[in-house]
Amino acid sequence: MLPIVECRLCHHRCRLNEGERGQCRVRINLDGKLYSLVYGKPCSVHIDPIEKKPLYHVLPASASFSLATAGCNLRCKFCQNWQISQSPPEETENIDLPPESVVREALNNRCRSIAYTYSDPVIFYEYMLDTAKLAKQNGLINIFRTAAFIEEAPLLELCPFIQTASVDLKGITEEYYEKMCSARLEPVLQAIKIMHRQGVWLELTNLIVPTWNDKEKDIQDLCRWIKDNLGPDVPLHFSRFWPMHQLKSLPPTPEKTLARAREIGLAAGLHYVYVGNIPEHEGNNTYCPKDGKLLIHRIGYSTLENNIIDGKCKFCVTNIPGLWA
Amino acid sequence: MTNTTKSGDKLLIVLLVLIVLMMGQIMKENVASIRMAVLANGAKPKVDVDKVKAQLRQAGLKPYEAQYWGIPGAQPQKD
Repeated sequence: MLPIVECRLCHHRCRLNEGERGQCRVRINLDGKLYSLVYGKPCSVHIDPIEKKPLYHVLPASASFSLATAGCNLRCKFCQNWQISQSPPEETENIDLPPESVVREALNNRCRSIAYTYSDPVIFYEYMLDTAKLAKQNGLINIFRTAAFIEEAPLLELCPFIQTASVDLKGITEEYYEKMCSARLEPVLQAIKIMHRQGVWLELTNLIVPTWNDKEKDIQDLCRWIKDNLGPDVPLHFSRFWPMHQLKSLPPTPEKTLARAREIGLAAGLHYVYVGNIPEHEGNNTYCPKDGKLLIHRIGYSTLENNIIDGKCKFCVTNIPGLWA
Repeated sequence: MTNTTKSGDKLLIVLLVLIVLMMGQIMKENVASIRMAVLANGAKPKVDVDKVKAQLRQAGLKPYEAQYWGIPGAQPQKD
C-alpha cells in the first residue's frame, strides 16, 4: 500500500491518500507522489490596470498581465471569484500557457508586470515560481496577489523573484479567519512579516464586510498591527464589500464606514490609507504625508494626474515609497 | 365502550409505528456517523487511481510533480 502524502505548501497541511486532492482541489496524490494539476493551465487571463490589484505605489497607470488557475486554499464566504476559486480544474475552461508563453504574451502586450491573481496563486505555486523567474530575467515585475496562507519555506524560495505583493489581510481575529475563510490568522501575519523582511514591496487590502469585521476596534487593531510590525509606509486599502457568493443577503459596505476606517488608519499613523471600490472617493488619491498635497489623482482605476517625480513629492521632495519606475 | 377501545387501539398502533420509524432514523444516523468516524481515521475507501488518471487525461490535465510535500513522519522532501 502506498504511503499517505502530506502537502507542505500551505498551512492546511493536507494529508492525502492515493487519488485524493487537497482542500485546494488542484494538488493530488498519485502513486505516492504529490502532483499539481494546473501547471501551465490558467483558466483566467486578462490585461488589467495595475490599480485593480490594488497597487497604488507600483508603476502607476501601467498594464499588468494577470492570470489564475482554478482552485483556492481558502473558502471565503465573500469570494468575488468563486466560480474559479471554488472549482476543480475539470470544471473550468483552461488554456495551455506555459511560463515562456506567459512572459512572451506580457511583453507583446506591453505589460510591465505579471500578476498571479484572481484565485490564490499559492495553489499554483510551481507554475508561478517558474514564470516569475523567467519574467524577472526579462525585466518584468512579478505581483503576488494573495491571502498569504503559505508555509515559510516555499515563501522564502519565492520572495527573490517577486518584487511586490498585494496581500489580503482579511481581518484581525482568529475567529474571523476561521468562520469566514476556513483559515487561520497567525500564519498570515507571519507570512506578511517574512515578505516585508525579504524586501518585497507590500500593499495590504482589508475588505470590510458589514456586521463581520466593521467594528472600530477591529479596524484600530488591524491598523495598529500594521504600524507596529511593518511601519507607517505600507499602504492599506479598505475595500468595499459587494454582496457575493455566500453573503448575498448582506448589504454593500456603507461609504461612511469606509471613510471612517480611513480616518482610523490615518489617526493610527499610517501614511497611505486608501478606499477601494468607490470610484470617485477622495480615498482613491495619494497625498503627500508631509505637505498633504495631492500626488496621484485617481478615479477608479484611471490615473488623471501624477505629481511623483523620481519617487519624490514634486512639491516638497519628500520620498514617497514604492516602485515607481 | 367497544368503539372507544378500538379507537384507543388504533391510536396505540399509530404511536408504535411512529416510535419504530423514529428509532430507525436514529439508528441510521448513528451508523452513518460511526462509519464517518472510522473513515476519518484512515480506513478510507480505496480510490481507483487508474480511473482517476484516465479522467484527468480526458479533462486535458497533465499532472506536474509538485514541490513541498512529504511523507508524514519522514524528513521534509522538496522536488
